[in-house]
Amino acid sequence: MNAESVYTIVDDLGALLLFTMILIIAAGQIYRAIYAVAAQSLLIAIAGGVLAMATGNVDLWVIAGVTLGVKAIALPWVLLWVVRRMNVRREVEPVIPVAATLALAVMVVVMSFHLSTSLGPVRQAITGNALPVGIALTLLGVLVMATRKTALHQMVGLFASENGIFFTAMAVTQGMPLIIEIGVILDVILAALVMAIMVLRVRSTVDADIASLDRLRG
Amino acid sequence: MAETLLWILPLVPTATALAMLTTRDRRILSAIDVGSSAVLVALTLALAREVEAGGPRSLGVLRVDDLGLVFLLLLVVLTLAVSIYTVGWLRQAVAVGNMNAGTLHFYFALVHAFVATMVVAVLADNLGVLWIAMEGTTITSAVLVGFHGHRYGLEAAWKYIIVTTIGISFGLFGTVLVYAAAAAVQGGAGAMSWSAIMQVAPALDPSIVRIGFIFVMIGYGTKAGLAPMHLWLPDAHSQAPTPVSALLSGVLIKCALLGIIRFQTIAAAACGAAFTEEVLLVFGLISIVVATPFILAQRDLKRLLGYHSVEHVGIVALGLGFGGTVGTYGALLHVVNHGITKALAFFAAGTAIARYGSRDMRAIRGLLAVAPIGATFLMLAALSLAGMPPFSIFVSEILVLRGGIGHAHWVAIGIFLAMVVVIFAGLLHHAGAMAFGRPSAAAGRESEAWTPLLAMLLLAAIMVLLGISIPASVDGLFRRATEVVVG
Amino acid sequence: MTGERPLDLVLLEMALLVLLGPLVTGTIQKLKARLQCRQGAGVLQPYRDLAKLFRKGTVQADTASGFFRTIPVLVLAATVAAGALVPVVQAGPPAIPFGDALLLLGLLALARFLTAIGALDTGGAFGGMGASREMTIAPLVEPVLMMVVFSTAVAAGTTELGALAAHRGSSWILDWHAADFLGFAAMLVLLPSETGRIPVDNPDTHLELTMLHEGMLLEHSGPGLGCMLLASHTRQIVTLGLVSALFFPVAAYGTDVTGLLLGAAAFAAKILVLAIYLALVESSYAKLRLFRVPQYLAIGFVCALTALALRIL
Repeated sequence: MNAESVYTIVDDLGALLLFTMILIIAAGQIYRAIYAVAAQSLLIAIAGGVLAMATGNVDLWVIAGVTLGVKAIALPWVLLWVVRRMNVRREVEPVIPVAATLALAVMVVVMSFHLSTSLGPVRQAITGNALPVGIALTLLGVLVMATRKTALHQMVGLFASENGIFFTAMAVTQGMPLIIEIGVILDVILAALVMAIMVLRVRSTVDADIASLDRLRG
Repeated sequence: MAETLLWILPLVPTATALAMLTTRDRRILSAIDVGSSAVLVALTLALAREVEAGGPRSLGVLRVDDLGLVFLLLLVVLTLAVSIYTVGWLRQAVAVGNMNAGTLHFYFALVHAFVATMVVAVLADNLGVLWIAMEGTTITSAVLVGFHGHRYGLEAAWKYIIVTTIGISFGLFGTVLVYAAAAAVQGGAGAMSWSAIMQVAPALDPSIVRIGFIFVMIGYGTKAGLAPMHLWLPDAHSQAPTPVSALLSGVLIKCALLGIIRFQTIAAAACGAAFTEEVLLVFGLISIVVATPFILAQRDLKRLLGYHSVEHVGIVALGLGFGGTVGTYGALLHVVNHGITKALAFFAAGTAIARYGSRDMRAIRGLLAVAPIGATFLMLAALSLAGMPPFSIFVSEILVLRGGIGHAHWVAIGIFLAMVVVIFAGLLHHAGAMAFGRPSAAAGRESEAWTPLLAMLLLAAIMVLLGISIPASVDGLFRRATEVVVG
Repeated sequence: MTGERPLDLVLLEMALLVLLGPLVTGTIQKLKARLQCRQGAGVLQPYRDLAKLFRKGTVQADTASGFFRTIPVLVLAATVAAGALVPVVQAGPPAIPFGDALLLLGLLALARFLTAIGALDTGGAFGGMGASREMTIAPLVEPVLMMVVFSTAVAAGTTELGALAAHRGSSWILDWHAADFLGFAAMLVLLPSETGRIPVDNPDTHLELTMLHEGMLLEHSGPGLGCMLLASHTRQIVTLGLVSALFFPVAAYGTDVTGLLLGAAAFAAKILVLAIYLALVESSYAKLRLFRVPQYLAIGFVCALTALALRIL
């Protein structure tokens, strides 16, 4: 595969990643958001595979495989399990209207692209549009976490945010060292498990969503 | 020898954490706890001697230099103090039902896992390992923050894990960007190692490092409790079990500061010191200003101490932002001073809270009459936190100020002084009201447990010692650490 | 191999669109029925409906003005004119340049406007309600369509659909630019709205709470209603044709008979794919409440804007 076509494919995957992110922001029901984030992780894994093929870097294959197994399959499965345990199908109104969130999202995307075009030479070190897309995904994940008042939505936002970082990290010319990537993924799994346990624990003790508790202030 | 110590150090708390799971007897657990912490202190002192003699050592992804050593010493000393304090605290907490006797082994295991992640964070040379360890501290300590299991504890724990995990993702992004810049210059393997990056730092692409540093500043700044990313800090500090609060405030936020300092050195070399200093200055000033009104209006004793940590982290950032040898020296000294003093304050506050059964400062009255020694320590800690001579914080604050005067940051100095004076008055008002007066009816009359007092004595001794005169060996360590930062 | 399209070919294509419009509707209805495990009416049912309507007489409300009678004809004329702008069997600009994608969107908007005016004219409650709802949705859809057109036009340097399709050549999805993915996604989101289908509108119902487009047709009858229905069929196939011209390569097989037949077959295949998509969406989603619709359309808006941003930045 020549460099030019890798460039294009990474760009295309970046666009699809942005699309899944928009779906996550717009999703009213939590399980749609979970499917969207799973699709997003799948795209990241594909990006890893493509870059691995292009660079001949064996580490990237491993990372792509782990991303596929953990972030595209295992974590969404855990989230769906929690959804079933909590038995929530109801839509929860976000803090600000979804349409307004989407408008903010557009601004974030445009800003990210503007920022990275203003950088110039960085584009040599990172393939294609991976930098602006990564920044946009990271910030949009935070946006989801800030505008949603349910624990599961916040977790989905967190994973989306981390997907953005992974995408950029994969596209750095050399790829990140394998051991670091594995460690990062392990941390993500552990954090997800701890969060899931907390969510279920609050649900069972005070029958409320943990993210909507707001007694501590001042 | 030193290389061996490098891998043994993180191994000790890890092994201890596993050992904790094998027993449920409170006495045995406490004994292992204190013993392991003492071993950690001994090993660190040995390592410090090696480094003093032979300079920085590295082993794989781990590396110890004088800068890391400052933080490591703070970490192990506080761990030991916390272990000693926990003995008496736990007896009381189990007696009144604050802690479930059946889950103590989990508690101890988590504390030592938490310590292990912090040791790795301090010793990490590889920036990726640094990040992994920082995220590890979040996971272990989040469980500890919610360990009491009531709704407030879990709320605080959730806020803590969510806010810091968002923050720390920014940190990872910044790390990736710095790595991308370094990989472009020197290629593959060493591009994540701090010591390797430092050697090529001036050649890095400044624009990408600049963005990376801002990401890191927001990321690790969240973890360090810099305003406006401090939202988790007062909640977590107030809801966590007292020994954990002391570790969070005394060490954890300092580890995050170390992360910031590591990136600061890279960024300063790549894009000029003026840029990093400006960023640090702004965050430091915001933290100090934001914390002040909350300190004045606070009623919850542990929240008060939490907001106070925001202020002091702000002072450290300010010292780094003033830059130069004096400012940086002052900032590093302040890291240690604040860690020691804040742990002492949490210990004293924790025992007072246990005695009165309330964290509301309006309920705590006449502490001096019912618990004279504890009350004395509380007053000492409050005086020191407020910046009274002859305690250590006075010295480091003066040094930070001196650094600012040296670089003519008059506006920042003005704001800093005004806030410090206001906080001084507020803190002494709160502390005086608690210590003096007639004890309220709720006050328990039982005698004071001796292990918490021993822990407080240890910390108070260090606090006074560092305030009156800094020993030559400690001074040498700080000077060399300052050189690492300033270059 | 993308010369200009001669005038007779353009007229032929236009006629083809008008003739095949009802077939597309019939196909979608049939697919939907099969997906819902029903037998369903045959694919030719819309033709039978139209034939029946054109044989009937007209009944008109007393309150309607004389203008009301001409509305169906005008709507049909505007829609059919829009059809002339879509390349069907061959890419390339028409020999006589008479408009571009923007004119197409304008004509469709004109048809929509006339429909709404007609609905208001009789003074009926349902008509007015349908018109007001349609006019609430339309301003959300049209700018997005325009942005999608622009996001591809920026690359081609023209807004003429035939030339756009020619510029895209016969490249497949592999050659899509990142912006094309987002633009296509926006189109997929908007398609149900433009064709009056679930989750935005429901073509099968005449309940006052749910209908948008159908509400505006209630007062029409006989040949007038026939014209309105034919216009909706045409509008649907024109919109699908717009999507395939923008995103699927319009093959250029040459101007001889086999080439034209191949082109027509390719076009039919593309329309069929989009029809299947519409049937799937209709079968798997519920109609959104009206105040949820803007939120749904906002997805398309964000995608289109991002696509545009990707093109320009």
